[in-house]
Amino acid sequence: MAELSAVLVLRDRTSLETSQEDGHDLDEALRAARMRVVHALPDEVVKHLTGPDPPDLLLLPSSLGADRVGRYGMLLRRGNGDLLVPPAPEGDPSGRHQGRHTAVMVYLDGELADLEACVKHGYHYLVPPYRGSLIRTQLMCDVERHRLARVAEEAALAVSLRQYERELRIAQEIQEGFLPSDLPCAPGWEIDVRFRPARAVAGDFYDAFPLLQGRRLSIVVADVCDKGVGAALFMALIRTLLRHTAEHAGQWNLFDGLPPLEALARDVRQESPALVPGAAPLLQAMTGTNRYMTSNHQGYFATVFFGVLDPESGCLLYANGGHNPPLLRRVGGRLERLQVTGPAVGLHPDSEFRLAEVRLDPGDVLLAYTDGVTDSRDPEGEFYGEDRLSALVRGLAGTSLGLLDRVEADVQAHLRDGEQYDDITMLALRRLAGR
Amino acid sequence: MPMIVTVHSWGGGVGKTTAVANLGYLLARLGLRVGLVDAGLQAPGLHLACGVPDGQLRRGITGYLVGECGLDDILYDLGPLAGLGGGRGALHLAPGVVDMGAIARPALAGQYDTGLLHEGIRQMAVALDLDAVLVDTHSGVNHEAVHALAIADVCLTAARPDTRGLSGGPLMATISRRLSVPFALVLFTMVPPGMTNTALTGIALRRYESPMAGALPWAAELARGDHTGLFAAAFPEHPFTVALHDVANLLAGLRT
Repeated sequence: MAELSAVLVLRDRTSLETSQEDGHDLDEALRAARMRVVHALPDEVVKHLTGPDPPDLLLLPSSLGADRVGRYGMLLRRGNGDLLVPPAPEGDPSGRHQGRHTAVMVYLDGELADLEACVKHGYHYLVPPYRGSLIRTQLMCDVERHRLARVAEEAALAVSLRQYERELRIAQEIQEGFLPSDLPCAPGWEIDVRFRPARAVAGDFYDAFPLLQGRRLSIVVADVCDKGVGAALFMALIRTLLRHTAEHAGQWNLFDGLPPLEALARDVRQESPALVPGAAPLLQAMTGTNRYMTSNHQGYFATVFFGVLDPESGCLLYANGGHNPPLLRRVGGRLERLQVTGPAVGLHPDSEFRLAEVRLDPGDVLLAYTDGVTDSRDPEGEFYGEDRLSALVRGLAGTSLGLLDRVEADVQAHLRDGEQYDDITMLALRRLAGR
Repeated sequence: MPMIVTVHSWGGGVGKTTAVANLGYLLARLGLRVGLVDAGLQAPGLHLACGVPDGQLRRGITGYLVGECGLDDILYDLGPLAGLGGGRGALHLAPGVVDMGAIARPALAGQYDTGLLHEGIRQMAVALDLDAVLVDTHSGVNHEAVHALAIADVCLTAARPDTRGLSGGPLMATISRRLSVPFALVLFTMVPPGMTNTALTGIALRRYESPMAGALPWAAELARGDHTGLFAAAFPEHPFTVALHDVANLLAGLRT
């Protein structure tokens, strides 16, 4: 066994010089137990404990009183309960610093009442006559107890970590269940998605589902504020509210969220978009979800792009609640942006969401995405940005899947080894040429 | 695109459906290709006014709205029944339903998109090459009616010139104005003997803030209910038919 060391703390200098004092006897007993003994005064304790070679045993005189002894004990247990021991020097092969522990004992020095007070605080104690073998045994017991406590602590931590990982995995699985397992298809159309959460769970989501007995196709791309588990919980809620409301919307609430009647009025012979099929479900989904969020969960909101496609005509009715304007690439390469038509969902109780309409002609492709794409930063901190995305999309004429592959690859190339800070979600909708 | 004429009323029982059926017939007789749409989902009856008995039609607009059938499945050619032959004039019906279950589902649950009514009318017009579509709505303010008014080129508000009929005037005027309906007109029905067109025109302007399209006199033959089918075809010389003919001419003129 390696040589053990002890710091024997004395009341004052004179106590050692007086051979009859307890410190003197103790010093002899420790040496008899083959321990390296260093003497210190109370105000030198910290220096010894935080030095490069902390002792195995700290012996404090009971005459210091329970309060001061307690302060040294606190010093050793500061923080998470680990002892205040400097980290092991790099390349330390001895392993001596591994799990290093300093035991604290109080020896009788003066009044017995002082010692009793310390014992009541849970400190081990030594009383004369001092025997080296007994001190050593007691010290070893303390070290072993500490080791066991540490093992138990680590085991508890490991269990807790595994439980957390398990919970996170379940959350991940549940969240995946909130994303459509299959994308609906319509003849003459391609629809593809890409979903890359920054963490195990995400605040982004996409959705695609049929409406009006399959006569329309809904697409949603949204970004819930915040990240991680909190955002994921609200992703589940907002996605459900939007979809459920849209799927179960009836005509009874057509005017909800609109200035009544005027919203339906024609504008220079142009009929209001609110009159076309899909307008009611879309508006009800946006306004209903907005109202629910602002009434029940203030502080959480989501940017939402919600479109309702008529696969026959190619008309896309949409509301853009504060979301990055999706890019519509015309067949010749010209880009259009589907600008916002209202604020983010969940921000203001009286938000109005206007409807807008755009027509996708054969060969046109729409890319809806979250800001995780454009806000991706390279290791130097430079954003990927809308300009780079636009330039790339403008030059891409292939399939929707090919478009997503190229954008994703370009974003990855920009990131290099940098961390992905935000969820990345993309949805591409393309009308096949010749349709 | 065809001219869409939405016929509406504040109160029920004013003879609106009878007016729609016969106006359609008279427009067809003028050589127009006409579609009739029964948007009174809660109490459809336009087919009866056209002479199609209950039970003959299996599918109607509600089936189309809830996705049970397509538009082609519900359109009914009234030409042979109306005795339209030869010329360009045609009369087609998109009927309501007569099946209670089919009425109850969409009407009571509200589980359909009113926008489909609009789309259906457009598709019907294209498929049948229609010049005019007459939409018969359920009385009062309801979603189908407001929707049909919003897409209308002409709003024809049917009203009896009595207290009940005139009470809805200001509200209907407001709705038409706010919906920017290009032509809002009043069609007085069941007009008792002694009321002059001059007096009725004044009432229309005061109460409805709109010009009068016509005044249909009280017809005992209609009130007795002993006649089935298109009244105007059976009684071409009846004052009711004559007055409605003037309205048809007015609408045909608006179209041009």
